[in-house]
Amino acid sequence: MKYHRSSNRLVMDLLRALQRHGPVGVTRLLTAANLTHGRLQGMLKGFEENGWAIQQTKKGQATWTITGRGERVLADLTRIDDVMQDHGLGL
Amino acid sequence: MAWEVVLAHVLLPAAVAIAAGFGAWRAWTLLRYARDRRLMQLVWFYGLFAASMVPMAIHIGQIAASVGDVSLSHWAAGGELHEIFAKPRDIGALLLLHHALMLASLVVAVAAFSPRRTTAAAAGLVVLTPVIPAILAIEAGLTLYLAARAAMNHRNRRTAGSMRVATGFALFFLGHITIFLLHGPDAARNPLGDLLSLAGLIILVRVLPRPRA
Repeated sequence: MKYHRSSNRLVMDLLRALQRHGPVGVTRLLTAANLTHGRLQGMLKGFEENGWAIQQTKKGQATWTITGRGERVLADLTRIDDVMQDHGLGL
Repeated sequence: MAWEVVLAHVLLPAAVAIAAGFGAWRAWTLLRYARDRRLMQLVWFYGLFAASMVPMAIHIGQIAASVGDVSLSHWAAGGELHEIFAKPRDIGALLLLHHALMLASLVVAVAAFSPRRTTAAAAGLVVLTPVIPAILAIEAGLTLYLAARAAMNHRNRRTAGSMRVATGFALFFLGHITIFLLHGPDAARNPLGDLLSLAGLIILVRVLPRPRA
């Protein structure tokens, strides 16, 4: 069965992956958040613009880390998702 | 008017409207954190439900004004005040507006919970129903659907929140089925139905988290 994730769910999944595994490289994020490379790059760029995640380079390898602001966004999304799931909806 | 009439026919619907309006506001505040179609539908559900009680309150207020002195003398003579409100009257525009808004709110809620086909069927039923008892039956049917969906969700997700949602929608359904079953040409709108709906709405609204400071 095809499983469709809403944009809010995608954001939540990626922020959660960053929180659990960060600092983390793109390859690991691809499998953790189950996204295509193009989609992941686009979302990470958006996260950086919003101040939800920062990119660092160590030994020539780029890694991503969630910021305090990103943590707050994740907490808010999780809170709303819980309420929606209680209604049988979910984000 | 006597206090019991004011309480049953004016304050109770007003309390229902306030509870639903509060729910709309709380759901609206959640949209700050996540733009979501179904969250927006919850806002519309509560908002339209609150709005639906306004024409009903005006309708009852008009009746109360038209029978004001009669009701007092009727009451003074030992008569039952609720009978005044139970006299058969023409279906006014306000009453139709009340039901139109309430049906719209319920259809929006069903749309949030269900596939498009179910919503289309519900909307179709609503369009084909110009008679008040049939409208009340459809309202009860739609709330039954919501109560059943919430109960099924609670079976799969056993949390305090899902329990409260299931209880809230169950009381909401009981309120509407009470209004439908006790409706008749010589019967006033039953306050018990509004009371059950109010209890259900309060429980549902309390599930929505408070906005952060």
